Amino acid sequence: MIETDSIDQGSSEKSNTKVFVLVFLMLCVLTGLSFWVANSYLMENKVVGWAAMMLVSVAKALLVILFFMHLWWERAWKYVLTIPALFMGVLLVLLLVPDVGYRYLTYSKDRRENAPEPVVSEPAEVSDATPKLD
Amino acid sequence: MAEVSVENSIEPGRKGNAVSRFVWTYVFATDHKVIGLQFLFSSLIWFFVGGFLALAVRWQLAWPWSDMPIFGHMLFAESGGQMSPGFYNMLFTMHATIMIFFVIIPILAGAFGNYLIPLMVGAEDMAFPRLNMMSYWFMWPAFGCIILSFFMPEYGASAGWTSYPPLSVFQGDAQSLWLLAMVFVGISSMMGSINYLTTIIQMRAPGMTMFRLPMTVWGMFITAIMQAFALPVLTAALLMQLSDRMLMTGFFLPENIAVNNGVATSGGGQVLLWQHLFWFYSHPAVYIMILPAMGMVSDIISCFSRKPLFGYRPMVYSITSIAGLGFIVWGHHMFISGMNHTLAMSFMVSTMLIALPSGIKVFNWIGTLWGGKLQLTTPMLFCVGFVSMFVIGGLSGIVMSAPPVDIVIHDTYYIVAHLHYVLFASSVLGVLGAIYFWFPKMFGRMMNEKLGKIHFLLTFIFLNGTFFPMHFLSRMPRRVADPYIYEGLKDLLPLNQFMTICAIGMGLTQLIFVANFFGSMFFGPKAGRNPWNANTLEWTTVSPPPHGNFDVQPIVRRGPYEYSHPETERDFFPQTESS
Amino acid sequence: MNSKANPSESADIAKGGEDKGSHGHIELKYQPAVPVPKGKLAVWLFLSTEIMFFTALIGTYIVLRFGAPEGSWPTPEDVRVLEWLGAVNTFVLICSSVTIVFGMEAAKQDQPGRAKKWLLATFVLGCVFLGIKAYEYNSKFEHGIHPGSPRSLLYDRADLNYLSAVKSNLDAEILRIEKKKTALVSESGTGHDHGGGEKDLILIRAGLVQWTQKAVGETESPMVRELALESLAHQINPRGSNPRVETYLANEAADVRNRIAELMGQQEIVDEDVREMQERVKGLSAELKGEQDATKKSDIESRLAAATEESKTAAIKSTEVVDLLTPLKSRIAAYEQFGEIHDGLNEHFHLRLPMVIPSGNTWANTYFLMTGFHALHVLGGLVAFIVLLTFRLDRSRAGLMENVGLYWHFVDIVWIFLFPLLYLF
Repeated sequence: MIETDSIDQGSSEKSNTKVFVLVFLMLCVLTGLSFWVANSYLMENKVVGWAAMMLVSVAKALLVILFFMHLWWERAWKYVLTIPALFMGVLLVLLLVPDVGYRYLTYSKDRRENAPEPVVSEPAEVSDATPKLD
Repeated sequence: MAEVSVENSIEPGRKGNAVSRFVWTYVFATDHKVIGLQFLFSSLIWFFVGGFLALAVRWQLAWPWSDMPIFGHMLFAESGGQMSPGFYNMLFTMHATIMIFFVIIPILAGAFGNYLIPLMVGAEDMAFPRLNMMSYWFMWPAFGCIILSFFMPEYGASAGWTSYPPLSVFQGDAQSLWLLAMVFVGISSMMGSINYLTTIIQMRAPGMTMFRLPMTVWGMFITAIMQAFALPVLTAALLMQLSDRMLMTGFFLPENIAVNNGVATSGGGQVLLWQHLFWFYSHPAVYIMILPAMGMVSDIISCFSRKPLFGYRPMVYSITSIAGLGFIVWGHHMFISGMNHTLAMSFMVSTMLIALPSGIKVFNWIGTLWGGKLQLTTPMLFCVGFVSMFVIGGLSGIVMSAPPVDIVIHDTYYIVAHLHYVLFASSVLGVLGAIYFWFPKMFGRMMNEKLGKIHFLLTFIFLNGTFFPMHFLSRMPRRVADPYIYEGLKDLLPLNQFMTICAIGMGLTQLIFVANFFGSMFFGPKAGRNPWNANTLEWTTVSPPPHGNFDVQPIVRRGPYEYSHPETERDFFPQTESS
Repeated sequence: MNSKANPSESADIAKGGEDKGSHGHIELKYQPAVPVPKGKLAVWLFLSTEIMFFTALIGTYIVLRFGAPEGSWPTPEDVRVLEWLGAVNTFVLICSSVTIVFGMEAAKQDQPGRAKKWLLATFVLGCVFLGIKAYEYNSKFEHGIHPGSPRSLLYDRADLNYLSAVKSNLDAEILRIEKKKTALVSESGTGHDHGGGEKDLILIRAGLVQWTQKAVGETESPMVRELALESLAHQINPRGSNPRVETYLANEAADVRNRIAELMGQQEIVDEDVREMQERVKGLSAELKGEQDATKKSDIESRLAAATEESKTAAIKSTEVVDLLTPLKSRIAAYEQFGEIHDGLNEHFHLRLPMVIPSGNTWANTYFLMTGFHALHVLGGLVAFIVLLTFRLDRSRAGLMENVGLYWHFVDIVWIFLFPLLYLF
């Protein structure tokens, strides 16, 4: 009985080590992937690139949480902690968006004149003497 | 490790001289009861400081620019004893700060949470006694910062307790001290809440299921969760404001804001960001300041009605849903800030929803009282006062949850009335009731009932005299040192004078409490284990409980509210008693 | 009897280490709700509060960044961010996460020596992370990218406020160099300074700053004013090629050259006039000396006075032309001397003149806020490692190792999100 126990233990150790090495390799690959995305055609549409990189990050975070932090092996209490925290975090950021994230849309004229200069993509004509912002 | 346990060295009765024994027992204490009392005493001291500040505010509103008695000549000798408008700003700022962060939150979560949680769940101590000690000692840097800020040129932070930028960013150094103090309070509360949660989750006595916990513990539990999730956001915001002040970053500052003829170039932030982050904590803080009181009041009402608590589970669910909703209503503090209208509407709806669980609670308290064999002891009187005052405070809250109404009454005395009905007339009455109720357990002696009843009666009359007329002042702006410079407000002076007289009366009344408290501590009649014939675990042990709390292993067999149970002759049925 | 290695069983192990046993009172029994040791539960609770803390920080960054005026966020090159260095740091932290996991496994298997080695490796990796972070911070500080305005050299727009900042900064720099030079001359007799030579600085002042000041003051067109300021900012710190500014500068240079040619022509004529007048004055004064007749003398005198007057006017005219020419010439000189500098004056001469990087300050604020608090958390982890390293890391400490590990993984996760947000977006 004891022997089988110790054998079980040994094998589970080994598989754990294997899992950790595998997770490590996946993390490295994913890091490379997000680096690749940042310099690839996906960034031509920024939103697509950002979404892809965030997805990669979420995947990496999940790998770390599930395996390195052993949440994969924990019982149901893990949901009690992680889901409210996740919910609160997302909620906070989402509710900041209308007021702070979209603040530029509601800038006063005065503030717009002092706002950071947006990059003008096409060269404007020098002789054009009309004011740029109104 | 077990041999060099620190707890051992702190245990009373250790060798060493009396001084070192005193220091180890009462100063560097790891016993939750001593820490609870440390919180209690420091909060009560700050309660009086905050009360004095409130009286100074009232003085200015009743007799504007007249010489302040005693303090006027100490502080404003050159102007002949009148306070300055800036000093008035400091008064209301520090009054709110002290009352919220140094009195109500520490006394509810710190004092009662610490004292009662392990006793009520049947634990020998908190899960982490040393963390608990740290939690108290992190209050002291905060105390130090606030005390120091009183000696700054502007006599303390004066940007309002909400510290809205850009004003707060360009205040004097006292504001930095204020921010630091709040960071320390935050760390202290965070440590405390982690400790409470772990204790409640992991250290309940056998048989003490979650639905056998007294409402007090439920209140503390939910409060601790709220603190754990909301406080870090405030801490982050405080640190950002600190960096806006010290490093001139621009998290909360718009572009090219001109200050003292110079331009703070590092802008790009948004003042509303502060308001959002601040209220993300500070609205839940409102519930942090009342849920534990609600829990304690539920226990006390049930005990003195000699009846089971009406609707235990709905009570638990309503506390939980108040907490859940409390997280998504913060925007109702910002209706006039120019926030997004759709956002404002969703905040309005969620705010109105809170009336539902609050209503359930009030209904359940009344249901508990209904048909009970009421024992009108002092704690019971305070709790009945709590319920009635909470109704007033809650109703005025529903009124202002609608943006069109709030836009009109924002920053008027109507708001002041509302928040004082919730925080003073409810929370503080609940706390006073709880002190009267658990005093025998804390000090082993009963408090004087007659003095207690006089204390209650006068407090109740004076607080209504002070705060109720504020409901009629919905045209008087708050945070204005002299509202009577406006022609239309001149007629409010007599009413304000009446309120100030009541406030002074209320302040003086508390001296009765002080006398009763200290007198009873030394000369009160000895209380047995269970002077109120209550059911919960703390009453099964000696008063005051020894180190380790229990002399027998508590085995819980039933819920905490089995009063007048048919199976037993007595009208109470302790949780541990075998049937 | 060996306990199993799965984490919920390690609960008992850790508990054995944590419970202090009875001290003078009865030992109470509890019914824990979750099958983990108290310490681990507390660490998880602590991490939830940390999640909210970093949510507030990252949320602030997200709303400030994506709410910044369209297209104004600085590129990595603008703010000296090396993407690959961020990737390396990510890799370092991932490695450290693995090493601490192995450390904990070793402790669980009661192999304190191996556990300590893994822990030491984690500690070293954490230090490497902080070292790289320090290098990154330093390279930003060197280029005047600081959080906050007293030291930060970043400006959101090329406006008058920016111009006056450049001017006062440049004046201060020239003054500093002059002072240093006199000090050095009096000390050792040689005047040598690093950074931009005094000559270059003075040319920058005359040919760029004062020129822009003049241009801005004289023009009525807001467009030209904007372009003049923008070109100054571009010359100090270019952010990629800016065809708008380059066209403007080229046009302006041609214009200036024409004006110079024109003025040179004028100058010749004026100089001719001056010479003529001077000769006439000379001749008349010589005539005056030789003349004896009083009536003739008075006639010559009046003619001499008129000639002197005329010569004076001519001289004034000449200086006027020179006055007009000087700024044009220094402008052309600056144009010729600095025109070939593509990395900007700041970079080329190691100057610290204010730079225009739209939303650069907001970038710096949020970057330093997030990485700073992350680095503080890393530092906290390192302190915990040092404390752990003093223990014998056998099975009884596996729970403690796990708790510290949980915290360390959390720090890693935060960086996993910070890396794309700060480096790649």
